[in-house]
Amino acid sequence: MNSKVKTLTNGLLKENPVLRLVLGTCPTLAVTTAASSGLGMGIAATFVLICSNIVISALRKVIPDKVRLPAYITIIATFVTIVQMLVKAFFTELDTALGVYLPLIVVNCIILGRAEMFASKNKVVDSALDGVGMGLGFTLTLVLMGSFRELISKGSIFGVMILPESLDRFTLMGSAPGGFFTFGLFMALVVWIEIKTNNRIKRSIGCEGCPSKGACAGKGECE
Amino acid sequence: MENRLLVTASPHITGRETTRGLMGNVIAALVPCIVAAALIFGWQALLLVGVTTAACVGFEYLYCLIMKKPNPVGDLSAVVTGIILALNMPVTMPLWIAVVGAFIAIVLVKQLFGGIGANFANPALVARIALFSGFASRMTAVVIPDCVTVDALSSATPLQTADMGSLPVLDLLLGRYGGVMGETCSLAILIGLAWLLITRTISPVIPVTYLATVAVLFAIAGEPVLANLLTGGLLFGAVFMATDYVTSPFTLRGKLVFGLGLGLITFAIRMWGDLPEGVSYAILFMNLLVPYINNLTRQVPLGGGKKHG
Amino acid sequence: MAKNKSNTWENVVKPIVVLVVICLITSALLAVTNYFTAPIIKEKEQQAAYAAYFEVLPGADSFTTVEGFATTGVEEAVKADNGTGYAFKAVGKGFGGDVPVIVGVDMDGVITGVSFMQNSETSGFGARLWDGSEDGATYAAELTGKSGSVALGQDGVNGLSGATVSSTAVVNAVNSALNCFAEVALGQEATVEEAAPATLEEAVTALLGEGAAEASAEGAVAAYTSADGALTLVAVEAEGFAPMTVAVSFDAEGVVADLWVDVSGQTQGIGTPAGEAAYTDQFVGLSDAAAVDGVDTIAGATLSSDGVKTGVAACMEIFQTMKGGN
Repeated sequence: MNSKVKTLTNGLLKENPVLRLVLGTCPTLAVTTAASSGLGMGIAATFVLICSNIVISALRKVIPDKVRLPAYITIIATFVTIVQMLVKAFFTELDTALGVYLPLIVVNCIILGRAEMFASKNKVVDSALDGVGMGLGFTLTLVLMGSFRELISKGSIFGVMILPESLDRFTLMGSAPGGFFTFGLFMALVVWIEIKTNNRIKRSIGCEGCPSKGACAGKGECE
Repeated sequence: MENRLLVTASPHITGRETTRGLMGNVIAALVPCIVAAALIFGWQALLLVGVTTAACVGFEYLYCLIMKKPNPVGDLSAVVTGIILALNMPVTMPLWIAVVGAFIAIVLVKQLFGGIGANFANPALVARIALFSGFASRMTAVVIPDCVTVDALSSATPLQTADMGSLPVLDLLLGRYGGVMGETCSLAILIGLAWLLITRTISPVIPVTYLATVAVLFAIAGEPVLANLLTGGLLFGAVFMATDYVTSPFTLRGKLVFGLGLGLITFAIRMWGDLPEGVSYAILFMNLLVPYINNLTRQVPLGGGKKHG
Repeated sequence: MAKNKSNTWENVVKPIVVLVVICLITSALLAVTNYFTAPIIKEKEQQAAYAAYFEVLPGADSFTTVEGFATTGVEEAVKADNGTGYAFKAVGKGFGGDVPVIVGVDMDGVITGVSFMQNSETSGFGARLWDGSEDGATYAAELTGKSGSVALGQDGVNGLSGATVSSTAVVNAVNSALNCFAEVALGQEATVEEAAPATLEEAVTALLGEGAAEASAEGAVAAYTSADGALTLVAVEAEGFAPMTVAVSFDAEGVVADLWVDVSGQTQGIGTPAGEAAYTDQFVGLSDAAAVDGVDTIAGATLSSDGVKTGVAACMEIFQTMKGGN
């Protein structure tokens, strides 16, 4: 039972798909301009993730290794299309808010990634739980980032105006630079939480593998 | 025996300048601009400069305190950043936004990347651009000073008026037109430039190349040269922001390339882009290219070079 | 043998079978979902497309598209189901392309509302129509309440200051909408503007009729004679603001019957009127170079008008050479 709970809560912090596994960054940056879009995208992606995880796990012994990628993508694409049709029919505002990023869930690395990393190797129930956990983590991250960006760039959260009207809004947060900055901030936050709860696994890659090697002022300090 | 031998790496000959001394010279060079801003725009200019500078110094001190790094505030570089950032804002800028700008400049662009000497672009410049994108209406609020004489200058910034050639040069020189605090009084900037050159704080190569390129390009394009040179923050950028040590090349050839590139990009943005000035983006772009320029224009050390045979 | 057989099954057949089955099942699922959701989606899209029309005809509750109208300049016409009027999406030719205008007209032919859609006019000038500035709203208000036809400078219709070309485009669009209303609501004849010939070939057909034969002429870009031999067309390249093709059709005596100018290279709104009937009609009926010289140039479009004049004069000369005369 413990391992089931562990599978479920993995996706929330320890293996948060966006902030730790750094998967699905493209829709994250695009969709977190408002908290409600983040929530909508999160729910849509979670639905697809759970369904595809279940199906792929159920078929994991049937799908030959050679054709697993085409098979996974077909299955994922089907669920995404179903979700897209349902959203277009019943939640039109969400469709406009998500725009092209709704069909792009097909290539959202989280879904294909979990299919490869987990669903193809584990039982159906576990895969379903993993889908729930990852999806929850994804949704939570999107909502938090979306709220942060929306608060600073528009002054509201979920459309509810929080900051006084007279206060200038920092509109840069609503566009790409703000997105990247928020992303970095949240990643730093999660790492900080990990350090504080003593869960930090020090990964040493040395100076050779580091992309900031040229500009770094503290060489060797990362070890 | 061991401690009688002193081994150090090069350089073995050092100059007498300190960062503090250099920065002090820059601050002195900026004083005419501050005075001019106060004269043209009123005492709020001094308040804005003061608050921004205090915020910059404060953030640097706090950051190094929290991150347990040695306190660099004494080298006055944060002061310089604060003054330059303030002079890039219109006098009506709310003080809290100026403080946000100071945070972006000092903490994000400078300290997070490793402190002085390690920033990838001029901190004041990036903060200015961030404020321009994020608080656009505040940054582009054109403030018309009371001493404006000509009608054409009492509307949008001179670069947006259609017929620039007809603007009186004296007004442009003395800063009797609307704009951000530091860019208007060309005379004050030139005085500052003279001081920097006399004290050999900066090399004239970058400002001269930059301004010359812009002048030549606009002359070829048939646009009014003097008006273009004296407006849109070009002088201020060329003298104070493009010449920042950390973010400009260190060889003569590099500086020439840098100035040329700046001129080209500024010309292109002003001619074909929608933005009225183009100086800040040009400097930012060239800042990013500086490591490559440095690599490509490296001077061969005496006796070094390719091996023959 | 048994091993080979299982290898083929494993490597070739099984993957195919599995993929095919997966595809079949997924297609079935998609088809079912589509069956249920497609009509709902279509309905929503229709209403979204009509959103602009609701804005200009506030009293309407739903619309149906009107088919088969002939008026040029109108892209779509819809009728309010509750009989409150019509709405039209009309376009006028602006500085940077089409200027789309939504016009609502009530059953008496009076404009109930005007709204401007996104266009590619110059920012700060024609773009003020749709960028949310007050000027667009003011202009829309000036047009509301008019009927019959509108014109710039009349009846309180001032347009956008400094954006004459864009404002004229709007007026043209509104007039097209009103004409369309006359056609679909009142049953009047449609005002159809024939598209001006865009290429030399189209011009030849327009000026000479079908079956024109090519003729040879020195110094000309092309020359044609009409099927019945009554008209001859000469085309030359002239220099305006940019190079322009000028084609003149002459009758047997060398009198200008009609002319066509390709003004696509001239400045839109400034030099392009040099190719329009209002200007070119002045050359019809002339027969010598002196008379051509006497035609005025368009104020502000000297280069383009001069281009037309030199072009016509050159055509005349070539025609004379063709006929063997002097």
